[in-house]
Amino acid sequence: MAAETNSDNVIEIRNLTKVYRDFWGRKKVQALNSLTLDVKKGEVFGLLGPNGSGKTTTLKLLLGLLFPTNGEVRVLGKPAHDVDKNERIGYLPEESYLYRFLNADETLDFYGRLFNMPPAERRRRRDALIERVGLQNARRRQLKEYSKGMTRRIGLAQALINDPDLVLLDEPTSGLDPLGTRDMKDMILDLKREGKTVVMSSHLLADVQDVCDRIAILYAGELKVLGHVQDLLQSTEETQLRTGRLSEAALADVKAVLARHEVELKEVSHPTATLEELFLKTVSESRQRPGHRFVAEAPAAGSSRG
Amino acid sequence: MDFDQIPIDPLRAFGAWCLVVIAFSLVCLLVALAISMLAAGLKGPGLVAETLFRGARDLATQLPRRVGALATLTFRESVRKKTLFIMGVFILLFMFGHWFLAGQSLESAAKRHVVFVMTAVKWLLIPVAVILSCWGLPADIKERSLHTVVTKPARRSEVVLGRILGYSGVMMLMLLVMSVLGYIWLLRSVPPGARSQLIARVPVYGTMSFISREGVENEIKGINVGDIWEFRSFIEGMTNARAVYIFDASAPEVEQMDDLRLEYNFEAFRTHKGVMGENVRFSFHFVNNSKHYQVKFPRSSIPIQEFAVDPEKRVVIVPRKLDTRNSDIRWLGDYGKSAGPPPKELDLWNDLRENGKLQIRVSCDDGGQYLGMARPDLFFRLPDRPFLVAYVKSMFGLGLMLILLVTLGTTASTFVKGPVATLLLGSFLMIGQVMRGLLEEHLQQTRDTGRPLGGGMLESIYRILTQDNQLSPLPDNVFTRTIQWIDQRIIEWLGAMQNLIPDFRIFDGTPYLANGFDIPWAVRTLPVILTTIGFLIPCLIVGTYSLMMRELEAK
Repeated sequence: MAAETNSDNVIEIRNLTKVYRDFWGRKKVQALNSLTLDVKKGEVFGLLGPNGSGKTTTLKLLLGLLFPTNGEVRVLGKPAHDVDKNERIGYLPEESYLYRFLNADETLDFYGRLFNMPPAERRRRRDALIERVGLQNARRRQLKEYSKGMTRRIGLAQALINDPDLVLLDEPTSGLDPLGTRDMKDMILDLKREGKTVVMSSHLLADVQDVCDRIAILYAGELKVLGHVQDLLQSTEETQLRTGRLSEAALADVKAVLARHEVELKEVSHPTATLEELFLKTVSESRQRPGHRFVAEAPAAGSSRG
Repeated sequence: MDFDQIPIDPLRAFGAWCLVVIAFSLVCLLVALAISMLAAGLKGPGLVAETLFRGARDLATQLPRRVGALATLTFRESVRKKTLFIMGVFILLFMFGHWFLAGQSLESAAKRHVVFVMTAVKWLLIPVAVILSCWGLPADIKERSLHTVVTKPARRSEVVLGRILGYSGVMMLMLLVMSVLGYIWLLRSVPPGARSQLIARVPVYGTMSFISREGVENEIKGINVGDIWEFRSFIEGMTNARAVYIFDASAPEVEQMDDLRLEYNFEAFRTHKGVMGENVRFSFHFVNNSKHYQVKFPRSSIPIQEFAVDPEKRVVIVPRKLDTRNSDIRWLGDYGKSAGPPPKELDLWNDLRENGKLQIRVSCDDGGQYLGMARPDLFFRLPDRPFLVAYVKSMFGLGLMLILLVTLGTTASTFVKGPVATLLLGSFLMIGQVMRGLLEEHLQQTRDTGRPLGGGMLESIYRILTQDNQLSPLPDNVFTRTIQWIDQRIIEWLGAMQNLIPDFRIFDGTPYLANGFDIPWAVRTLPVILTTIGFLIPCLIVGTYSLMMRELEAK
């Protein structure tokens, strides 16, 4: 492994295998099989795969919460079991397994103390992060009173308390509404802009596509696809033109040109916005015009519900 | 309860502790090596060495701030999960406890009230300590909250120590509140006539031997009057039989006393009714062999207050100056033939003390009656301390017991789940609190006679099945030799195991407090402190390695 070590790599995984066994040592399930991949400094890396494909297991092996059956893992140049590496890591678990009896201030203060931060620095980081995740109005409430979205936000805040170089996010948008999802994705992109390396696991493909530079797709514990999102998704077999609205005459001319070049015209349509875009637009307008309501059209005469 | 226990020798205790820790570590190391070689072949020893190194590094790089954060978290968790509500039960007990304690005799009123307070505090807090410490960490692992801690630079040892300190803090808070309430309740509830019993006597014990009825000195035991409880030995009245107590009277606090206060607790054994309405009588004889003085004090014999509960009734005050008005001063043996008449007055310390020691012989002065006594039945009574001092010491001992329970519980919870840890700690508590005496007796018998009465476990089962009594010899064959051999190994194993289970009895100061004694430093307080530290250190190490070697994700 040492021969393949690259200083640009934040994470190096070599032939990583994980087999879960029962009490008697009998094999229950093989969660990972000879996984080899690197994550480079400053990129947003996505681990994709269906449920049970080994994404979370990979993250937990990186964090030393699980021990590999075979293979090696190095994180920030140190073995996964080395506690010192955690000084530069932030981790957001799949569920926000935080202490629900603490409030937001206490939570961040507690995790700050684990990083041996002096009180003044803890206060500064705590205030900045609470503002960043938008929990100023709920900072004194115990986490057990938080909604799912608020819990994810405070979870992200605790992951960032030490201003980490590497952020590991396990299903960061899981359970969030579209607004929360958008905020989370924006925060991930902010982290990237700050030069941090982000590794996220998710099965929500649109989210990954929006933020990740590179992805790995796992299936049944095996690496199936690895590469840049753009490279993987780009199709060279088709060409897409995007223009302003065309008149019927202009459209006919375009068709004629395509026919002259013997190119098949597959589809001509007006683009539709995504549901996410519509939702975000509606919420944004509602914020600006609180009194405005949608009024349903009156049903046509004679029509009735079945 | 025996109040006359041997003071601890810290150096010897440390040596024994080192021996046990080294032996335990070696056993663990051998087991780890065997398992690692089975699992990883020749790489096994290397893995063990690496793990040992990582653990040592983990322990050596603890930071107070992180430990403090984890301890505070644990404290907050316990408080916010309403653990302190247990104090409501305590208050309820005290609201109505008085109903059941009032209206009985004044003689032991203080004792009843003290025992009630101490028992209530102890048995309300012990289950809390057990449950908190055994269930906290497994719940943290199960809910995966611990994931967010161990993925920070927190060491495993800090997690264990933080938990121990946090739970200990909660227990100390509850103990403090209960102690204050208990003390106020005692002062208010003990009947005014019995409040004088709330004292803390400070005894100074001596050594003891016997002189037989024929005058033979240095006998270890007196006469056995047939009592199955051999704690006391008896001397026969109006014979040469004496109980000889030698006290170290060189300590400054002893010398500072103007009058010597002697408290006794003798027992009479009557072979005839004697004079109706009168107690058996005895005398003290102060002896200085080098100066040949023998002083009987007082001149007339003392009737023993055998059944008096109030200790003041069993106190004899010996004045510093002994003269012929209050005592009978004589020469020892035939010395008077050459020395002439003895002096009219003697100074207790200057004339009767010999090399810093004061010898007091006790005689029974009723013919045909016997007087029973043991070493703690006669002691110098130094100036009493306030009851509060003994009360605080007693609560301190209880506090350390709770800390020890928390330590053991937290350690157990690093390698087993909550219910199993509770069972394990419960077993420790039962063995250390209840069965320790039986175990020690069993081992002592084995040391004295080579085997316990009736044999070990298998031999006992054999005897029950064959309806054989404890004393008859077993038939000599391969089977009986085998079960005796196995029994011997079990007894040796028990002997080793008793070092791994703390003696919880020493933490309980109630017998001292209830009987009006101060809790002695070298006999109780220091051993309790050393025991707690002695378990805390290995438990921290075991807990660290245990947490380090397990996959926290695995449920």
